[in-house]
Amino acid sequence: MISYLANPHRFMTFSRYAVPVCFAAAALMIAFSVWQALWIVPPERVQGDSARILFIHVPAAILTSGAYAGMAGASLVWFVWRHELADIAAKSIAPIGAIYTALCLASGSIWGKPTWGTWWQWDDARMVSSLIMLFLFIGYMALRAAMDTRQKAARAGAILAMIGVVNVPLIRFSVDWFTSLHQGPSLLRAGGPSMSLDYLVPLLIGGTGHILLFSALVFISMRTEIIERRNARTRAKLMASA
Amino acid sequence: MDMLPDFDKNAAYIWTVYALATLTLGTTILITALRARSAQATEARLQAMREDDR
Repeated sequence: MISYLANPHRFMTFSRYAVPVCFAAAALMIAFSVWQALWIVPPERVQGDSARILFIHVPAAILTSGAYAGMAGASLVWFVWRHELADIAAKSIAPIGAIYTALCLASGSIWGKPTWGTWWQWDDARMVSSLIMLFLFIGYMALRAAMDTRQKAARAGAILAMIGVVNVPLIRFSVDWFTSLHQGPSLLRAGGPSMSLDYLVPLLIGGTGHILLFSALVFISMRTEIIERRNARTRAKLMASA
Repeated sequence: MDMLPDFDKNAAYIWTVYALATLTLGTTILITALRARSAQATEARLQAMREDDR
């Protein structure tokens, strides 16, 4: 599937249909999750109503690591095979990944105040490694923007993305490896999820919706980048013929 | 106001997060769509210039 879509022409055809499908499914799933979160699920036994924030925070947290892993994977493909579409994918993932990471940090901080009594804890490994993830996304975009050619930007960005991927398992396992204010894993854990079905089902549906929204946004950004690169070539041809 | 759910003392935190998510993701969708539209318009303009050039 991935090798089939590695051709920009095939990708443009596929994404023309995939984008509206992803958007429509994402809208339905996120709307269902928000409706459940705000109107249907009962207050959590310990946290009360503030647990409703998790329906935004958890999908954003999953996408923080998922987006970075995707960006690093695409960077690796570019680095090994020099495939232009892989570089376009990595470049397109970065800003949307950064936005989801910022949303994860902000929603986590706002949830932390009523739950833990603090907005932020500098000695909490999960919080600090998530903040580092935001800096990695911003650093990736800044580094690319600082390069004078597309080739240099792709190489520098790919190296940073591949080095920074060590932060992904650090985020995932920080709550197991270090004593932390942040609670342990509730979804992906040995013995299955620890939360009740009232919370689990809308959370998984909302999470899938956010993954589809993220995919639609990345597909649109990739299409835009392909068109902009095509425009740059056309402009160069026009200038040469003038 | 009856349409809105009634939360405990942490209602302000909950509404802030949902408003922030709507604003952030809505702005991202808008900017992504506008950038795509602009690139397509430029492509059409450049194609027209190329046709004129021929």
